[in-house]
Amino acid sequence: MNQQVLSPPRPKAAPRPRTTLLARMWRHRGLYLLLLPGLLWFVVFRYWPLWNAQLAFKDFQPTLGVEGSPWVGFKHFTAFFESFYFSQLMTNTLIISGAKLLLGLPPAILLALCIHESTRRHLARFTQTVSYLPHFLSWVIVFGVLLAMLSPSTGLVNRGLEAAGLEPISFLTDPAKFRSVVIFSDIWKETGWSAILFLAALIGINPALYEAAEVDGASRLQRVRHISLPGMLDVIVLVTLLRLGHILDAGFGQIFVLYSLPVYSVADVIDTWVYRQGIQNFQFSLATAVGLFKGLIGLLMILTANRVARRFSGQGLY
Amino acid sequence: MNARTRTARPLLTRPLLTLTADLLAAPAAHAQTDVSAALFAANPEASAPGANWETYDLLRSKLGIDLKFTMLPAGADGDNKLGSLAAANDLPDVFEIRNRSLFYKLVEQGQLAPVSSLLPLMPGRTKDRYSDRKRNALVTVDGTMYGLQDPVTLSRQYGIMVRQDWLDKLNLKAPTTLDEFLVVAKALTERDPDGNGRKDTYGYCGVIDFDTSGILPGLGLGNHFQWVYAAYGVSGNWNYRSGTSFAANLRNPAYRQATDFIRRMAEAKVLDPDWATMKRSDLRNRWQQGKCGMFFESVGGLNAGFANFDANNPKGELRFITPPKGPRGQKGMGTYANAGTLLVVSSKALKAGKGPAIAKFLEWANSGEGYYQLGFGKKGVDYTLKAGIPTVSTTNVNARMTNTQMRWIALNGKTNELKGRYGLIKAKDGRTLNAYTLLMDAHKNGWIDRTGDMLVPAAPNQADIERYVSESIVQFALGQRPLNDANWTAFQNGLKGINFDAYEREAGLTLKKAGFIK
Repeated sequence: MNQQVLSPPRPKAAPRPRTTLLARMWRHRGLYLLLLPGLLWFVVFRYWPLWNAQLAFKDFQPTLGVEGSPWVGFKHFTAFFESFYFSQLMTNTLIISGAKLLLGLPPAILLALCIHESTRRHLARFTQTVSYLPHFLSWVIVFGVLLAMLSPSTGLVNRGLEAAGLEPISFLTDPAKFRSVVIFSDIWKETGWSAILFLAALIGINPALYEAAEVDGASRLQRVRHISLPGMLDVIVLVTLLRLGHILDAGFGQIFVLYSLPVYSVADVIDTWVYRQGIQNFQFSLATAVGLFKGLIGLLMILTANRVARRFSGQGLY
Repeated sequence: MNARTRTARPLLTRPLLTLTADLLAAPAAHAQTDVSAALFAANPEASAPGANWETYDLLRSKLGIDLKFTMLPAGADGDNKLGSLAAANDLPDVFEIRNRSLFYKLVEQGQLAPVSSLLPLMPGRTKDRYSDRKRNALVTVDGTMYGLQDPVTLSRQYGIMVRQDWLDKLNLKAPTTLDEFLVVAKALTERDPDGNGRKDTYGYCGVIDFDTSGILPGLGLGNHFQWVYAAYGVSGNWNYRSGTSFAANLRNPAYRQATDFIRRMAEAKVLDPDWATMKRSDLRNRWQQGKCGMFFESVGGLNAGFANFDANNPKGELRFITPPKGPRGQKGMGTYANAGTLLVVSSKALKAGKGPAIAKFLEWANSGEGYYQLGFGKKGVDYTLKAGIPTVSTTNVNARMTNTQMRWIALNGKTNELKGRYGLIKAKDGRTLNAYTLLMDAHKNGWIDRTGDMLVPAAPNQADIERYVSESIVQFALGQRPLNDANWTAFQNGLKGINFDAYEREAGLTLKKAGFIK
């Protein structure tokens, strides 16, 4: 009661004129115009094709079109789940994709930190540019490079081993070695490119924090640990969550080019199987069903991981 | 009627009258039928013909056909492109199919037109190419003919080439049996035949390759090792021999023995250790560099790569060897299909009334002007005609290859044609190799006709079947999986898991129905 007496009367806010959504959009039309191409891209290439996902439940007949093709229920999903190699395909996909995620992120973060901490700007820029370059090479070219390096007959690595009196190693045909080749060649190719996001996050950290830490006597490692890494945490969580959404994409292009019959047992993944069974045998409905399955698993992974990330680190995708 | 109307009448009527007169005067000259055609690139390394291609003008002026030609990429990429076009219901009017699964799929989907109505419209071509009942059966589904199956024009051109200069240097004779093959291959690997002081040569170079037109590879290790299976009487997928019950060759104990011979080659390190991962282009690089004592190659591949080989190996001498005999005296280079280019017409094209134009075009390509134009390019520039033999020009090779990208619908595999296409291969020091003679030698290599294989329908789990068999065989060959009784039995028992029995049964019924087995 007293409080009411003591508090000065609040001035009444002038009633705001009610604006419609359209009027507000018109007011910010410049921003909406910037949004438009991205929105259109999503509508045309992401949302509209969802309509065609019904193919997964149909026996697609091109002459009848997507709508006219007969419904077959879950036949294609069952064919995939009951296929002879299903469990092996899932295992290979999860191992390769998981390893790329777990082993690929730290080098990218480390590279970004190294470039950011470097006091020689020219060297930092040079390193950054050189580290990007492999990303632009196709896997076909990388296969040529790997063959030149790892071939048991002509590869540089094996020649080195032979010179040291050791037996050559069949990196590309030995199932025990092949996954390592896949994972490390992917890390080599993509680390520089992945570091861009982390570098952007580092650049966004307020320099005053570093200056204050330096004045307080923090060492370089302490600055990295207490300023850089926490400053990157948002982006690390974001990248991890986005990659989890693609956990069943083990990298078709890379594996398709690198794998061969002797290593199918450790290299055949969902996408390569879909290519052989679905695309090369023209079973497009089966390919769509597997695509839909992968999408659903990816969505589930993102939802779960986002919830976990929010609970333990307070960060999340949304 | 006012003045304005009076002046307007001649302005309107004059162009109308002129247009009518034009249409009446030359109706045929202006009536063009659009025809789209898609063929696998005859020369994948050369570009597609441009809009100013002489053939387009000829077809417009002489046949009234406005042709639009699309070049399909070689191998599985071309099949996939056709598959995508089919999925979009946007197939070309007339096109080539190499993948039999796609052919049956398109028939089932109603995307291919019955072609028997076209045959009377192209009498010459029908007589030359489509009058063989057995071949036509390959494209007949439920009594309706859905494709134009040409006879094979170029097959059985592969063989095992040997470095004769290395044999001479090491005082060796060309192997005639599998055992001799192993001995010679070992010598070519270990006795430094190139004399560079390094152990950097291999007795035999081959790759796992399932993509060679004109040869049916079957399951297993592909074309480059079929001669080993032929030496044991089990090359190809199926046992066609009469008097025995039909089965896949891999059921035969001899199949294991043949696989074991390849394992012995790998164990003896006479095989290029990259054989299981290399592509065909890598293999070609290696024999051209002088790394292979013996290798699997075609006459066409030799023709294309000899200049490079000659530059790297000035004294290098190559020749085919006869396929080595197996323990029971059997031999062969592999299997082949007696069927060449398969052309099909889309249902849409026939419904649009383009059938007569397509037939007219194919008839034109069968002989005379069209045959030479598509098969050899521009007369006097790309080829010259001497005594009925079209001799291709050795200059301006790229332009000639571009001009002959549609040659497979024209070429017929007759003697003069082959003599023209496979002339003399010249080394820098003046030595020559007659490619035509080599081709004829290759034909004699004991090839086994497996045309019937083309009829065997793909299993619903074809990819799993192919993987299971080929992966197991390569693991045995590489020694990754010991080739003993227990493992071989496990491999055979595993066939049940992939429903191989049903695939085999279906193959038997199909081949029997078509008359390929009794």
